[in-house]
Amino acid sequence: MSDTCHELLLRLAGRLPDDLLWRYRDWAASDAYAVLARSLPRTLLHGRIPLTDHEMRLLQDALVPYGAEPGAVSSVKGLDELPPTDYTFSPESPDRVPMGDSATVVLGATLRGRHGVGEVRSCWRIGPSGVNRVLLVAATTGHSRLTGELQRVLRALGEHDPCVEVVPSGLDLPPYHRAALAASEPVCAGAESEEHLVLS
Amino acid sequence: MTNDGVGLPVRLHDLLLSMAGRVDDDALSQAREFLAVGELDRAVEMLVGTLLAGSIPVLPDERAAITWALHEVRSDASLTDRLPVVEMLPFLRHRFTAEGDPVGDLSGVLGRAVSVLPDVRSVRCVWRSSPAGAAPGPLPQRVVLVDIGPQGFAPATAYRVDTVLRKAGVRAAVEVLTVGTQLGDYHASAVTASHPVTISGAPVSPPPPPTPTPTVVAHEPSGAWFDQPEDVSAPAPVAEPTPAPEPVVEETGSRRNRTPSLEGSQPFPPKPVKRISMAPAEPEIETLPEPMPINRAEVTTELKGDELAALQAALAETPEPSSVDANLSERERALLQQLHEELAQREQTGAKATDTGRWQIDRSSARQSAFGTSNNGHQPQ
Repeated sequence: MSDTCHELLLRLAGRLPDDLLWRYRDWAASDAYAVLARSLPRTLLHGRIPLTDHEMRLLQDALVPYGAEPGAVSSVKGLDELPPTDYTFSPESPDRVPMGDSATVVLGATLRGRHGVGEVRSCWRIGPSGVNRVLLVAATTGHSRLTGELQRVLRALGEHDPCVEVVPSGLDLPPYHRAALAASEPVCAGAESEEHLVLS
Repeated sequence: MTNDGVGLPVRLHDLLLSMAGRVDDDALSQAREFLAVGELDRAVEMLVGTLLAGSIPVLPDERAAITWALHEVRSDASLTDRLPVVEMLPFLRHRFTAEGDPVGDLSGVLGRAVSVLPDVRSVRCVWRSSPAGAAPGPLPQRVVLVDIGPQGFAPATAYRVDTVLRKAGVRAAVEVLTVGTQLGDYHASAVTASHPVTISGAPVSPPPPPTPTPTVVAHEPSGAWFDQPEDVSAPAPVAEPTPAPEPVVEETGSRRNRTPSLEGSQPFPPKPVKRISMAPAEPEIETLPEPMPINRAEVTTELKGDELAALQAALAETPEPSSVDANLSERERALLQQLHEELAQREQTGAKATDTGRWQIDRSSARQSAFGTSNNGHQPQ
């Protein structure tokens, strides 16, 4: 159940508002599925955010058992195929003076050699809402909790709406993540050194 | 929670206010936005989700209030079943400070928004240097306190002010407080340490008179919300001063008048550097005029007859300098010698001293004496 919900929230990156997406991921990391089951479908409906068939199944499987209204879930618009992302990504922040990145240092110290963590990469996303750091992490287990933990670390370091993408092994990356990965730079590697983020 | 005529959005706003400092500022901001745009269910669910995810404890009546709110917005009231309920909330001390200019350029940023919002009485600003909630943002956190009157609409004011600040690139927790509402510890501490924001274009009224004469209203809470919990000894609440021509500054002024009652609870006492002005005693010594030569006639003529006789007898009994005399300076010894001579001279002439009152202390000598008193400091008792 946790993996299903995590994959759904991962796929919603760049499509759900950042301030809500990190919040929902935080709830999922803390097992607050009951509230998520009510709130996420409402947000999808309110924003007219469409889901692919695969994502729709993820939504039903993950949240209907926790109380999501089947009627609300069924009302979410369908989508044949995910379009290319509207964001552009860059390995360097266009609006930050290159004086060192303390967040990267902290993340490297936290994740280097960590069990269940593979490759860790970072890039910057440029879009209508401004410039945001995107952290890409390959992980073999505990994806939701790792996401929640890294989000809280980044928030304390100054990222109000952290964009943390913890990618399970073997996941077919959505366009958003492929674009981010293509522009990313390595931060560190966890204990699972064989676990790489790959463009599919 | 009963229906006493207060609208549901206002009740939910008050519920969110009670959570300030316990859940993160972004969650409150988000919930207030939902509240302002009429999505009440999402507002309550945002609060519940944040409490659940952070395992943030609530009081039994708070859980009852949230359950009631969920029911009112047609959400799932059972969401509160998993909320951790405690009989007493864990002590959480927040620290606020106005050092570092929290006001900054907020005056210009907020001017227009505040001018169009109804019944905004004042805007204050402060830094919070303690984290809030289970997923806190970076510190320090700027907190903007907006005081509105009964004609204001708290959720809309919070949303609009927050939006304007974000658009200007200012991250702040916006807390909208209604006049006459009792403050919790969090907001009382924030208000106490805050600085007023002068809104551009708003007329600046002079500070209120030191002794205002407010109208006493028996059934209504006292004028300003910020000093409500502190002024428990007040015999009766007082009404808000009439804010008619210059509401913003009028309220600010009255708050300033009452703020000293909160000084004791201020979590961030002023640093010593701000208290230097309270201890000017030492520099005063340096500003004293130079010691003037003693006019012997003036000094002696202020001795009463009996005092003169007693002093004579005492001097006669101390032929040699005592251990106290050993500590005298050369100047003091000279003065003492002059006094001896004067007494001898007066005894010879038989002149009577006029009764002018008291021995006049030579302050300059007293300041320089090791005993801290004048020449009469070594009189035998």
